[in-house]
Amino acid sequence: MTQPSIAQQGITEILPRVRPALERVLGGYDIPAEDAEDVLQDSYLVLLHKWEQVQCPEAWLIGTVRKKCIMYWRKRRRRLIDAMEASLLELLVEPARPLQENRDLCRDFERVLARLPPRCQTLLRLRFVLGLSPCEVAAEMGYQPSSIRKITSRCLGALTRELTAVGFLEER
Amino acid sequence: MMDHKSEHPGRASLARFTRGELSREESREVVRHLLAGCPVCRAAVGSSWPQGAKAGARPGGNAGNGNGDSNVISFAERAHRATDYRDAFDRVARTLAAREESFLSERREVPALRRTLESLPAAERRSRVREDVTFHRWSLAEALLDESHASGGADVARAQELAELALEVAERLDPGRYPAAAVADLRARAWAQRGNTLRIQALFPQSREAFEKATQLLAEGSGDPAERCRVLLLKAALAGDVKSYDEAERLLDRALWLGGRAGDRHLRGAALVRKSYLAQKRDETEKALELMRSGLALVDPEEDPRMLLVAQHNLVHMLVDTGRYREALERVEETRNLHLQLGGRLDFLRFRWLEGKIYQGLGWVRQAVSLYEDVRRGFVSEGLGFDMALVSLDLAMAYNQLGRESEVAELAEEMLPIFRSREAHQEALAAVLTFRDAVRNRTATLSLMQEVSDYLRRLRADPSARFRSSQGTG
Repeated sequence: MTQPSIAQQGITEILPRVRPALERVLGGYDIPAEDAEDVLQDSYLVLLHKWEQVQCPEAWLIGTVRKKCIMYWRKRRRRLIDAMEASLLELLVEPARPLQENRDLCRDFERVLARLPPRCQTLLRLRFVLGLSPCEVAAEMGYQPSSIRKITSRCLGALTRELTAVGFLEER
Repeated sequence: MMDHKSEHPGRASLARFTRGELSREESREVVRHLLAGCPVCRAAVGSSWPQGAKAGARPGGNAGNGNGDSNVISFAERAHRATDYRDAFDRVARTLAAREESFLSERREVPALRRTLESLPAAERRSRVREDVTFHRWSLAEALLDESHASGGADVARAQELAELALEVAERLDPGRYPAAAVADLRARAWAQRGNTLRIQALFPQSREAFEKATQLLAEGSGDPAERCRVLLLKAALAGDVKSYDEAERLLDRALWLGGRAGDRHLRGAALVRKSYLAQKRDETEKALELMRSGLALVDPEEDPRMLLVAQHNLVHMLVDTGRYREALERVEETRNLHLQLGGRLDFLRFRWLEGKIYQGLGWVRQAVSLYEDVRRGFVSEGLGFDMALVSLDLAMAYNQLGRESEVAELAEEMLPIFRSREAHQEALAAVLTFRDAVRNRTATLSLMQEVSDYLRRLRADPSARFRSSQGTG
């Protein structure tokens, strides 16, 4: 059976029916109330545009909102790690501050590193203390250049967890 | 610069830090402060990132924080916690009502836009679509893709032109007006459709490039399993055409799974039908029959009538090839109706030929002769020498069964000049000549006619096939 056309059955009509299920999905993924509108709106608009190809709009919408929730946290995690990486590079690799302050900074960094797995410690030291480029780090540690970004990201994730008590899962 | 040990960044700054919204300098200060080991700010950042809302957390699974934290609450518990989403839903409902109206009005404009495009010379259409923003409409791209799909089998040049136009439109959609994920899906569909028209023209490297582009775009899209399934179905057809059968099989299995995830019977049916074509190419006839029967039971005639027609026709063909004439006969009526509604003249001629074989198989030779004669005339007038030769051989065998030997002789004499005028393949000519000579010498048996017919069929799939007659000629 083909879906009734959008002119025959408006998308707004299915909203009340599917709302409780969507609230459970949003709550289940801890989506902050202020960001839920974006997640919902994106999903609804995609459905509006694909209406006639979608066999079961309710199930489609729930699946899409769920995927967007996962993407929401993935993106936030990525942004946080990017901010962490950029800041560490500026702080540790391009220092322009008094010697004592530098020493304090390195000591603080080492203290956090000590709580990470040994491979992560080595990688982060090469990258942020010695200032090696990602390719140089890969060569030094015997990783493929193509995978170094992912590995660095995992190590930065572990470091970020230590610094922020933000307990996100590792990306697989 | 603040004193990184004593001056706390403030909760708002910390929250913005976790969203990546701080300036570089502000971020740096926050990181420096956190490195100093401030437990208060560490906890504050943690609280702005709700426990359990982790990237990749799955309903029903242990959301865990990667540190073995057993205090993390479950998805179900979080789902029933009272976060108030009322405002979000209300605002979305208001926006959506307006967007729905605008979308409907955009759809109403499509026929006029199509007429304008059609009124232009073919060479001007693409540049007009590129330059004139009134054509940059989602609904127009969709309509062009649907038309391209519909004309794919019958008029591939037209199908390609329409796919290219759809692509031009899809590449120019206003990102402020349409959701990015849906646009990526639409572009993926347009690239896949383009890839398919190139495949039909045997332009395989270009087709592969188009499918690669479609795959990249899908990664940016909504993740809709039905959308991914459609692209995979077309991609699998390409893999089948270039004889990468294992790849085609893998793609079709994935498409079948995605069709199931999307809850789309038609797409699952389409995947099974394509798996059947693949099994045919691998000479796995019984498996192909089974897959085709299962696929046809799921295919929606409204969704893709052309695919239904081709699949039905193929099923009848396989039934005939495996001698299941009675079952083939049961499907004749339905298939003939589909041909009359949707098929072209040539497709219909081929179906009548098939019908003749069913009658002959059932022993209704006179009815078969009448059909073969019609079909033969059709192929002669269309200038299709190969098909004419093949149906002539079927006709000769039917005449032979009826003891109409003078008509066999007449046929053999007529066949050669027509075939020679349209086909240049020397081995094929030699086979037809062998048949003609055997008829002249009154040594033409049913088995020789079958040998020549089988050889010509084999030659279609393999132009290097050689003719060897068991009667020692050729």
